[in-house]
Amino acid sequence: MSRKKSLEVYNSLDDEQKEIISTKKISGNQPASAWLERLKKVALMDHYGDTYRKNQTYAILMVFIGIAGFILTVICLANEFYYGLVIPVLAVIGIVLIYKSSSKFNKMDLTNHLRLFIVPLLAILKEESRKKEKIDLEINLNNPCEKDNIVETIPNSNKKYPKVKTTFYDLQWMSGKAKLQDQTQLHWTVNDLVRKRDITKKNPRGKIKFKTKYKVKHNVNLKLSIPKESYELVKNPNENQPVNGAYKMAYVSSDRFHVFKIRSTDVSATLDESVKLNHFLGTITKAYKHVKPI
Amino acid sequence: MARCEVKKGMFILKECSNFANQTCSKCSKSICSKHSTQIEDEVFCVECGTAKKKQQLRSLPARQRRNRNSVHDEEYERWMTDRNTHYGLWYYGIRDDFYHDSQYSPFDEQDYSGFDAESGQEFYDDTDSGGFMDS
Repeated sequence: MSRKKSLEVYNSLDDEQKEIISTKKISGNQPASAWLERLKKVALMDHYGDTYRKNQTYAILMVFIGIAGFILTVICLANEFYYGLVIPVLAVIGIVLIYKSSSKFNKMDLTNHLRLFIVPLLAILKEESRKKEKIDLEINLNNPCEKDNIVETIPNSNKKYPKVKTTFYDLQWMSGKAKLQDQTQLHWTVNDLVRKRDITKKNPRGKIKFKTKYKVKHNVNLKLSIPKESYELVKNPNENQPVNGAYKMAYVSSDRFHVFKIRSTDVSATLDESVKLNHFLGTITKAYKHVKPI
Repeated sequence: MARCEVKKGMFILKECSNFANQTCSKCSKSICSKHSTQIEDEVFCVECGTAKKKQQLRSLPARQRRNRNSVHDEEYERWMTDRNTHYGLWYYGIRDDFYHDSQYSPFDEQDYSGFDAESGQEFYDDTDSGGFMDS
């Protein structure tokens, strides 16, 4: 059902939206409402696609056809009914077709950042900025765990089990610029630093098991230039840095702006999660808490 | 004719400038169609609607509640699938949770004169050294 819905949404996309799915990259400069119009359907298609992949309907179907084909082959051979061997041949063709269809479907998968973070953020920025104010966006929705993104590999050094191979990936998947209605300029980047651990274990009965574990650090870098004509500084953030390093903040005073540079990190244990919207919004408020409207 | 009394925005609140055509059955605020929602034949403003939905979710038996996401997750899905649905409820659900978690009290439009500034200025920052924290 989800597959059908996903394909229906895909077929209703325009060329520009289909290009986002094939290249997995988005860039441009347009108002928030135009961004939402462009990305909402793409996010919806990804939502249905993810539901279908999560249910693994295609895998169940392939296993079912495979078992049925095998049983029929045995029955046909036992009864010397050689014309019946067409059925297992059809089963093999069926499996190949389902496999091809599912791999095509997997290629259409985008990271969940679009659905869980980018679209809700744009809805918030739409309310937060003037109607025609344009938002600059550069987005990469590729899987971060690709060869090009490897920054370090630590090979297994154990001769005995468990054997652990650790790989680090780094991908900046979003950067953006927006101007809020109070003329505050917001400039941000988000990058994912992924630690992938391939673990091979041997249990006491000698059975070997493989496991892959992920830890993802979503690093948010924000620069807020808050206009001096509208706000005054109430406390200098350079004097009260957080002790335990939940975030780092630097403050610079320019001619026209109070400039706050903030770096914070949100952690998740799977690749399916995105940086939490509340974390990102909370990072913005860290700057606003240091100023007061004039 | 009365104006909609719902306050828009997350960091800086501002009044909705639309004309109101309904009244919230809980807080009696005047509301426009964009900021109203109908729950069980009653009309609520988006803020009271979010609170009502949250209350409904809390009153469900634990077993049913476990299979459902938060209010704004459900409303987000509804907004994505229905072209005519305004994102009101999930947006205000996010805002409500955010204010609760971060204990942030937003600025009000009347707090300052920044809104009078001319729009369309270039992206300007005279301290920009290109990097973030490294300068």
